[in-house]
Amino acid sequence: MEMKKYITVWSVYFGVALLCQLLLPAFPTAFFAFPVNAAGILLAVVGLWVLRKEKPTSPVTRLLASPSTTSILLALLAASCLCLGLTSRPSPSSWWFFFLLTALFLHLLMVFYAGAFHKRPHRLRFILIHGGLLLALLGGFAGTPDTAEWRLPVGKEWPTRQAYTPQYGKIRLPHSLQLKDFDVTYYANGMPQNFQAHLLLDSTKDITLSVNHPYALSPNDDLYLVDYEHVAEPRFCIVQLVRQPWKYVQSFGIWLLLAGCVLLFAQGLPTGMARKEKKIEKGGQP
Amino acid sequence: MTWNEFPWFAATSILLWAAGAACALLSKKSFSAGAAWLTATGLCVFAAFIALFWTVLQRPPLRTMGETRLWYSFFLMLAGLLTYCRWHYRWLLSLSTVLTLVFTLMNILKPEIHDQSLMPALQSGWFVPHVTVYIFAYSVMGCAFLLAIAGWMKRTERYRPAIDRLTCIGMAFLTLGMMSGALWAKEAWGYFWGWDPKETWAAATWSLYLIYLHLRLSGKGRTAVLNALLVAGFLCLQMCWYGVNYLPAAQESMHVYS
Repeated sequence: MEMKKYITVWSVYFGVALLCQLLLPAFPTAFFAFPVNAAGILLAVVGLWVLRKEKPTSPVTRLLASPSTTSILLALLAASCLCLGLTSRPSPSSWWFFFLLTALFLHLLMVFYAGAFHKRPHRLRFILIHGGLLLALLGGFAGTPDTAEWRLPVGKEWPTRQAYTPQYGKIRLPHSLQLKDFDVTYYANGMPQNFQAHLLLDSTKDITLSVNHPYALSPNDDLYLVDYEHVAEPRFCIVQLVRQPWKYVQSFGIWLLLAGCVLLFAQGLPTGMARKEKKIEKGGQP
Repeated sequence: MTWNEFPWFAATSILLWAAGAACALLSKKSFSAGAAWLTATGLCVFAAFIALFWTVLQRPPLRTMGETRLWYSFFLMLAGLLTYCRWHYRWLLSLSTVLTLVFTLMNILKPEIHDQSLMPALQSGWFVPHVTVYIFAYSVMGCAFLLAIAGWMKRTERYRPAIDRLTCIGMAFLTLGMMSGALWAKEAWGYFWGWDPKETWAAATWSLYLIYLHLRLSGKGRTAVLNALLVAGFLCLQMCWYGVNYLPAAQESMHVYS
């Protein structure tokens, strides 16, 4: 009964999402850049806390904390991922994903409030898994408008500050880069075994970039080596600058989730499932 | 040790596993120690090939599809043996052996190019944990899938405790694999998550198994829905592992290494 009611509510919500997707122009990601995203998160965190404290039995509280909502939202996430996976040009920055991830975030937050602040078996595990997922989702979803990337072709002749956005827009960076030297070694079959670029940052500092070893230009900005001139002695390489201020939130969330999964493996089934298992082993119905 | 020696090791292992499966099926007791020992010996032979192959290649054998199938076969039998030792399902070893035989035959009949080269993107401390954890999760979910099919055909809920336990373990490893991949992706490409085709299929698989676990927790899932989720999850998992390579989206994937 509850499931049917909630399916109706969420159908209306995602009907609106579909209408926005079909009728409105592209999702305005830039509008949600800092401080709008931070204000939205603060509003959700405080708003849901007050709602849960003041009106614990209100229809909205019950809808957001319901296990039926978990199943409905996860089913929609799976279906959306399948659609993305089957198309050649996925576009997760859309109205549909905005509605879906907002719903998932609010639901996860309400579930976290419900489970983290009450005595329950495996409470630490619950906090690590749900809190970690919440932060990882938050860092990725809310952090997208503040994330940017630029690519710079860096040559040996002179220092460069000219960078390009993925849409080929030009910008001038506050730092300059110049290629000093490029090392590349090959396997016998011609495949590159290793390559690294020795660069001069702001004409003063020597830095080395290689794959899997980015350079932290500032707390928010990292430099990555993405490509190079495929000749015996490369004269230029392509460096990518990624600005991602929310990476700390996301990274912290991922590490919490990893710790939670180690506990999930070590401690075994969640209590509810273990109880049902015993019942089945005794010959009862699940 | 090269790929040419694989058929000998594989044949020895398969024979031992088949003997173990036969022992389990024919034994009068619910648990046959002989079956467990034969399967374990087969696993040792298979593990010896992986170890020697690793040494000769001078890199972890985890790069090509054929190499991941090698690990899948190993972990699937290991998961099957552990499940048999814990729950004494005498037919499980036969099913695991048949499934492993399919993957082993694929490796013998259609081996991908095996060479010693390991491209720079894969030269990371995350490479071995990310891939082995994922393949182990795939194998455990493979066992859960076999049990779900058996339960579906026999119209029984007797296997549900084992399925729940395997899915719980598989989910822990699936998430460990996915999250270690996210940390590695940040180091290599600058982003934790990029909606790459492989990542998208991984998210779909993860969501389906998560629905299963939450339905079991809330006790609201009907048997048919639960089994359907396990089957759909397993199919998505196959897509994520190798099926995605055959989609047009694979052209843009960052996960194409071979």
